Amino acid sequence: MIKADAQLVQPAAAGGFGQLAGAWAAVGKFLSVAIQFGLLVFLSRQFQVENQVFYEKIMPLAFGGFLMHYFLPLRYRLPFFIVLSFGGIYLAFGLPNGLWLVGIGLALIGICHLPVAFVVRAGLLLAGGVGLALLRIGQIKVAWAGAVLPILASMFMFRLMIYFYDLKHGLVPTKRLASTLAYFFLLPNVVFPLFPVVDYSTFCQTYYDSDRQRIYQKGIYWMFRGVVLLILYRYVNYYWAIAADEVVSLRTLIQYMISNMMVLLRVSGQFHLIVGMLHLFGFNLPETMHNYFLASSFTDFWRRANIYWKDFMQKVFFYPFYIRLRQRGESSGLFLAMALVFILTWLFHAYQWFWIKGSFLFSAPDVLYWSGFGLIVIANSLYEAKHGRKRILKKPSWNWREIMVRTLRTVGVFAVIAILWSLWISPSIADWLALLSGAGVTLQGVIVACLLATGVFLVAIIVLEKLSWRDAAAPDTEVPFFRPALLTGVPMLALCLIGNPDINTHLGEKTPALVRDLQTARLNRHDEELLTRGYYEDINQANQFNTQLGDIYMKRADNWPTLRETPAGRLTGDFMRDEIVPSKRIVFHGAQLSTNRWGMRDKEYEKEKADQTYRIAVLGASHVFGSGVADNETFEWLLEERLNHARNGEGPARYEILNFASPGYSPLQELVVLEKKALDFKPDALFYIATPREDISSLRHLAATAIKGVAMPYDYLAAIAQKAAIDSSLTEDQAMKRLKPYGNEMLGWLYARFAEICRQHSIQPIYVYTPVVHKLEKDAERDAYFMGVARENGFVIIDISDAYENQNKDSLRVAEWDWHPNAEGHRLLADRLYQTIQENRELLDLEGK
Amino acid sequence: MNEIKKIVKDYILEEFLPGEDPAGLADETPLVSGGILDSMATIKMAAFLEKKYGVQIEAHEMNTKNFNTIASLASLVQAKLGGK
Repeated sequence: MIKADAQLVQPAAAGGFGQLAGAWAAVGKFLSVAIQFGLLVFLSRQFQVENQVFYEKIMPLAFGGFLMHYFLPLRYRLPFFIVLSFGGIYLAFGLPNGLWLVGIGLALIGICHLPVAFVVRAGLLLAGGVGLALLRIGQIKVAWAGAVLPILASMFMFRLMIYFYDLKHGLVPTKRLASTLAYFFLLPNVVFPLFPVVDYSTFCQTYYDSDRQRIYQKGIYWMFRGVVLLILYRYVNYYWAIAADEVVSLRTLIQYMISNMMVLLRVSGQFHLIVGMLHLFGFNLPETMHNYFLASSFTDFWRRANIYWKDFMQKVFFYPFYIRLRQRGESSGLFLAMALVFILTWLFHAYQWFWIKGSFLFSAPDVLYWSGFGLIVIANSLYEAKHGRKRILKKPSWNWREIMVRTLRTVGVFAVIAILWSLWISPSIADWLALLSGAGVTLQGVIVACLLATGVFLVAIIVLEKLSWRDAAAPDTEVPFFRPALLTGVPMLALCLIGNPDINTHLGEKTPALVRDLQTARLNRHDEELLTRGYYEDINQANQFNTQLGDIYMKRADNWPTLRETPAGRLTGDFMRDEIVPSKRIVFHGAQLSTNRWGMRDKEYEKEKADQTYRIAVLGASHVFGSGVADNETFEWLLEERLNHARNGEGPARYEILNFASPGYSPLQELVVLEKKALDFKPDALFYIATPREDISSLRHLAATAIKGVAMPYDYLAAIAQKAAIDSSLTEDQAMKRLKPYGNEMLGWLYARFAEICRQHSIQPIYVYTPVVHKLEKDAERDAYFMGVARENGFVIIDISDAYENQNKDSLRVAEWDWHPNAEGHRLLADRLYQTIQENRELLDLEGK
Repeated sequence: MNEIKKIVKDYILEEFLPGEDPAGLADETPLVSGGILDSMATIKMAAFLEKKYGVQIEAHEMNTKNFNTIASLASLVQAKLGGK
């Protein structure tokens, strides 16, 4: 229904002053919305909101589209929005992939409208879904599947159910192809795989159902809220989130639970951005989430947390099932229908995960989480059905007693949800129990935590629910238009100014660095650690559903195995975990990979060193091994070429750099490689390639092997494992927690051992500190500590951590989902290393004197 | 039609809004989007209408369009009665 559709400038000739004023007011409203939207485009780029395609392509496209759309007569606006949405698909996917997406989408819509029985159409849709699922898991191989299917699925996996339901019940208007196309190919969907389940009837009914200027202003307000929520999430994620193995007290347990639950801020931010953007094209959709952290009962949480999901389940499943089941009695019918809703919610979560990530998600914590959450919501609903729930017509006046009761209930609900959430994100139930038992919870601590939580929630309830300051910024028909515009526009402008380095330098010493960090999309410390451990491929946990690491995982190509999943790698079952298979030639991550007869990724070298040859053994992990680059593109290969090419007749006749690196190896495994393998080749120098946080990777490896009871190659490591009481009853996180206090000591032992072996064999130990291609949270103090320990033990230090300085790190990685250096990244490392070597030849003793 | 509206209004006030001022509940007061009719209340409302007027309300009719106001509820009942 279209109520008010005031055009920008109506002819003022006949109406005199009143009409002229109205026309100018319309101009003012347009300018106000346009300026705010422009600021939002600027803000999203300034703060790198979500992903590059969003802030560089979709936001400018939506802004330009809005300016044109605004001036179009109403009948052209919906077709224009469809064209704009297709434009977004083209910008995000390019022409071939975009055509696949639109083509398959149109085919699915076409099936819904075939002139055959509904059951036949349903069968055809199911068959189509199975075909697409086979594409998604790679059973049928096509080049476009990995890029296109997650977004195609995001557009159709639930909306198609709603559409088909509405079609079956005559709720889809006939001859409304435009509504159908607009509904499925919604512009922002191309960049947001996790998308609110928009209801088709609501989508049609709310199109320009109110004054359009107010709809636009509401969209601006919601988009701004979305940006703020995403920045807030980034702050929590960067500075407050901790890993399970860092939980050592009640305080850290609460910090872990809450910070991980705050991933909901990101979902909320995305949903606000999405629905806000749709408002700017006339879709006056309802709120997607409503202060869910302030829910005062479990049913209240269910109603607030994902309103569109709740409505979808209610419409398509709950009501139809309840009506069929109510003959069994009201309570039984309710219980069964609600139980079905939660079972389906769980299954659909796995279904959504499958389409977006391409893998199956069925874990014990997942089942337990949905069962637990479902049961408490059902119990709460049945209680409310029997005893009633207090409903009110207007906001009540202040009453401290009621506010306190409400606060206590909210604290209780929040605590239960946070505990359940921590279960959901745990890899296993044993991990979750270990997390709780390791926190040392005391009654006194719980009381203090409850008191603090009560204070925090009391303030939040008063500010967000009682004072209703937010409502003042959300336009409705009762307030003058420019008031909400000012309440949104001014903070938006302030945020833009704070984001400007010329201004934020005046806001305190630490502000510029903080703002710069919040403007950068990067991994948090814990996710970095997972990534640098080198097996993020294995991450398949619910908590990755909407984190940055989850995003990376989602983008990964189907044919992206770990080395040990190829013929060039194999498991060993001992302390080394895996090793490189000799004499193999494969294509690995799109590049030629050859291994020599000694099991190195390198040229064929003789074991015996020729006269006048200077040999360097290189130790490291996947970035040294050269994951994702061709044999002749690794930095050690390039360096060897350059050193030999630049010889001037002095020094050795030949340099040989032997690559002993292996993917996923920690320094502990590298030590074994040195002793058991590299020494046989009689190297003159050792390049120990270090990266940030290598103490963590060593501890992780020790934890993983010790809990499996693997024999330790060094008594020292066995002694540490014994001192820390590591046994097979522990989870990896628990073992890690116990081993952490030994981190520095172990690193000292490790470096001393490397240096000692080198001394015994007259090898020059050189510690090469390299950068990584992902945006890393700098820990200069820790880095300096590592280098200091290495220096104390006799290493010569080469710090080339500046090799990627002034480079766009995104352009230096192998793929969007793979943060190993690409050929250019390796070339930069080789250049920087060569330069340093040339400047320090004497120091490095590379002349073989 | 007005009679149906009155009966619906009285039922809502008695069942879901005890103690609230009847003057605050108008024919166009949003019931679903206003948080008065949640899924449980919608089921009760439908059951009441079915019993009171001897009509059958289908699951797909229990939507915001039909249940969001007293006026739309009355229209739904009226249409059902007229269709008998």
